[in-house]
Parts: sequence; structure tokens; C-alpha cells
Amino acid sequence: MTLDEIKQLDEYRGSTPVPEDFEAFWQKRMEEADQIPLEYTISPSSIPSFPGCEYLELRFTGFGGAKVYAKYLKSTHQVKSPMVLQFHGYPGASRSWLEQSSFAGMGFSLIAMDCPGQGGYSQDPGGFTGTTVSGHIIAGLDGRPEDMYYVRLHQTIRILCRIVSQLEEVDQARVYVNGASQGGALGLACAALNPDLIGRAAILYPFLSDYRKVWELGADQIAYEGLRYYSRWFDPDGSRMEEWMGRLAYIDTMNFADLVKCPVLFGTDLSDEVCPPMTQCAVFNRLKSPKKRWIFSGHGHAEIQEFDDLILNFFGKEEVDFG
Amino acid sequence: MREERKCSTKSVGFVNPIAIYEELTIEGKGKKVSARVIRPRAQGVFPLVLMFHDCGRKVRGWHHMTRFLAAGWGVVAMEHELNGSPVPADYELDQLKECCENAILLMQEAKKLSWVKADRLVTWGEGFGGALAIAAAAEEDGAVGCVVLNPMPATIEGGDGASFELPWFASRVKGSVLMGTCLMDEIADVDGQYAVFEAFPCKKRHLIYPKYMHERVNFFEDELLKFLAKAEEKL
Repeated sequence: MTLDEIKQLDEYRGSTPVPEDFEAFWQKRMEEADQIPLEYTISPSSIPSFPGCEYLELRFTGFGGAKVYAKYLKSTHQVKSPMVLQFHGYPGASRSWLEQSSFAGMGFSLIAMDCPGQGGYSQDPGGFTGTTVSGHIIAGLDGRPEDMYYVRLHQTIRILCRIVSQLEEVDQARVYVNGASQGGALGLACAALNPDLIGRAAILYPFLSDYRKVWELGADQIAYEGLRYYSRWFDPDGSRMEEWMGRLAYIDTMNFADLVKCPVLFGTDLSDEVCPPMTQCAVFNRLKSPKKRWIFSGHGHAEIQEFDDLILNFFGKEEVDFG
Repeated sequence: MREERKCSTKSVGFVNPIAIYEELTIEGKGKKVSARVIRPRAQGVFPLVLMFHDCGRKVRGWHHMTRFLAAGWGVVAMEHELNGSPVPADYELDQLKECCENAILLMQEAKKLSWVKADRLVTWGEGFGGALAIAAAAEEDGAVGCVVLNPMPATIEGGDGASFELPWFASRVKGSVLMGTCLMDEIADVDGQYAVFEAFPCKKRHLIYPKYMHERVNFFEDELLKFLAKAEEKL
């Protein structure tokens, strides 16, 4: 995509209708998650601690009994530290302790959760209705919307937010989210569903967005391969598309964007072939909170260190600085 | 008049309560070396990571480099111009050698910085940055930690009989070494990497990643962090 082309999409708001009960659906899901008793432990990791940062492991019971693991880097520079909730890309895991240390090096604590059933140590309880072979987007798609993988995951993240709210060493007024790709989608949804906690969001090329457009563009491959798989095996003539796309709309990042209240620093790369820039436009355009999008080119769906550098001041300054 | 080498820093405007961001320039005697610096804001002297980037890419970002401050280490990251091809053989031998000379020069000057604990130095690099990390460590008389992932090139022959021999540099490293090799690496020749590792005469450890290519390895980065913790006590 060119710069001119993306500028022509300033009014584009996505290709799938928002479910009429989207907000009510998620309010109920958050209420369900709030009923789960908190069970968690924090213990030392295999990484030795340094005077300014302890390297800990957080283990907790997520929604549906998921055994969730998270890296917890606890900054000890202040009595109460600001915190970053870090979300990772699909289908990986929280990246190295050293990589997460960048935020600790800014004086922030950080919790980086492994998504259940992906590349890290969190265990997913499974039990999804329908096919499970082709990824987490369609895990549970043939059942009730509330039983889909990503619905449960957002409920698990709600439980994580409740744990964070209890940690006395956290400056509750400065809890921010950061993530790229799936991490961007989860971070944005976390901000939307936990508006009283999340104060800022740094979101890079969000995944899980505008599924219908992904399908139409033929980008239902790589990370979005489940859409094509489901279509070919379970809806070959497309006659059920409204039905299953309607269920996916409950986990579409662009619909969460409507609910975000905090400032959002957003990044898109024009040459992204995994998460089409057009789908990212739907998300960005639907944000009503203070926001700024930086457009890059030539990086594809890979690390954009210029975006990461913007986060230093976006999170670090008292006043919001979008760079 | 004998030309002196001048080392200067310029502040970079990132806000961080525990760190200061600077650009460092070393000039003189026909050389100019640029580097990014992040140092602890507190008073005192601190251990230093001297960091070198691969060819085919630019220097690592400021946010990336900030990771070392969590451990209380300062970081100086050299910027070199070999950011076109990812293959060292695509550059002139003189360019590779000049980068090595600059890495050595940077080590000499960086350890003189007022905030650096000169007996706690670790060089770190990936790919061609690994070669630079080895070269910088090799010229030090004292013990220096050296951490490298997929170091390259092992050997490059020039047309006039000149050559670049990384094992020669490796044979001069004192201190301790942590090295990682990805067996599916098609850019940094694996046999050459083994030759480099064999040449280290000092305390050393070699970690192998069978299904990784010329790429970052999360698990090796965690080993680097553990290495820094041990290096705080002894190199």
C-alpha cells in the first residue's frame, strides 16, 4: 500500500457490522471474570535479580481454569512503580527477559503474560467446539460466542488486571499496555475492557482486526490462515458467512476500538503482508480517544525500532507525548 | 602538533528517571567513530556493555538498548555503515577491517568514560557485530566478558593475499566467553563459527540452537542476562 492509498482510507471503519449487543456481551463477560476468585503466586525466576529489578514469575488461574504464566519484572527504583502490561504476537510467547527489561530500564515494572496454548508456559484448558487444528481465531467458532478462545483470553486478561490492581508496589495511576500484532489487539482490547486501570496504549500493527476485509483481500493466510481453513472446510460456498463472521465480530479489534478511553500511540507499516494496513485503518479510525498514528514503510510485519523509540517518551513523560 | 583524539557527547531528549541518553563521537587521528550511549543517571561508576550490530541493519534502537539499564549496566553501541547487504563477503576487506579497528578504538575510549567501571566490561554482538565484539575484547589486556551469537565472518580472503581471520582475534580473548550458534544459519557459516569457538583459549561456553537461523534467539538473550549477573562478580 502507498501513503496516498492509506490516506484515502481515513473514513474506512471496517467491513463487518458491529453486533448490536457488543457492549452488553462484553459487560457480561467481564462480570463473569470478576466472579472468579483470584488465585496467584509470585516467585523468583531463573534470572538473578539486580539491585534495580527483580525477575519474578507470576502464575495465576485464568478464566475457565487456564493455568497462566507471566514474566514479572519488578522495578525497585521507587516504592510504587508504573507498570506496563505487555502482550505478545501470535502464536508465540512473551519474549526474552532481556527484551522485557527495556521497560524496567525506564523505571517501569512489567508483566508479560503468555497466551494459553501458544508458545509459552500458559496452559489452555481446551474443550472448544468444532475444529481446533487451524489456530486460535477459529477455536470455538462453532460454539457459543462466549466460548471462543479469544473471548476466554480477554476474560483471563481481566483477571490479570484484577491481580495488578491488588499489587501494592504498582502505581495504579500509571498502568499502560504495549503490544504488536496479536499483542496490539490484546492491548487495545485490554484498554477497552479495563478503562479504569489502563492509562495509555502503545499499539503496533494490530492483528485480529476486520476479519471480513482480511478474507476479501485474500490475506487469510499466515496468521489469519484459520479464516481460509474454516471457509474451505465448513462454509465452502460462503452461504454461512454472515453467521460466522457475525460471531467473529465479538473478538474484532476494531469493535473494541470504539470503547477505548485512553490515549493511543498507533503504528502501521505500509508493506505489512500479515495484517493488511486497511484492516488496521478500521481500528485506528474507530478510536475516539486521543490518538496518533505513525506510518512506516519497508519493515513489513517485523520489528520497527523507530516506533519502539517513540514509546520512551509516550510512556515516560507526564504529559502525553505522541512524538 | 600531534593530533589528539577527542571524545564528545551530545544529549538525546528521551525522558527516563534512571537513565541518560547520549550520542558519542570520537574524532581524531584520521578516525571518526559514532556510538549511542545510555548510562545510569545515578552518581557513581557502572559496568559497561559495549554493543555491536550486525551488517545489513542499522544500530539497535534506543528502546532496545535501554534493556541493559534494568541490570544497572551502561551501554555503548557503535554505529557502523555496513548496513546494506547482510553478507560480510559483499563488502571490501578494508571496510571490515576498518570496522574492527573502530570497535577496538571505541573500547579504548569507552572504558575511560568517567561513569564506567573499567574492570567490568562485556562486549556483545550478533553476526558481524559478534566479530566486532570479539575484536574489541581481544585487544584488551584485562579480562573482558564477550558474548556473541552467530559471529561472522570466520575467514575472508582478500585478492592481494590479505585476509580477515576471526579465529585469530578469538585466540587473544581473555576473560570469559558465551557464544551461541544457530545450526540453520545460512549467513554465518556454521563450520566457521565452530572454528571461532575452538580458538578461544579462555573460559567459554557454547550454546547450540538446532532449529534457529540467522536471527535473534530469546533463550540466548536470557543467557546474556545471566552472564551479566555473573560478570558483576567476576570475569
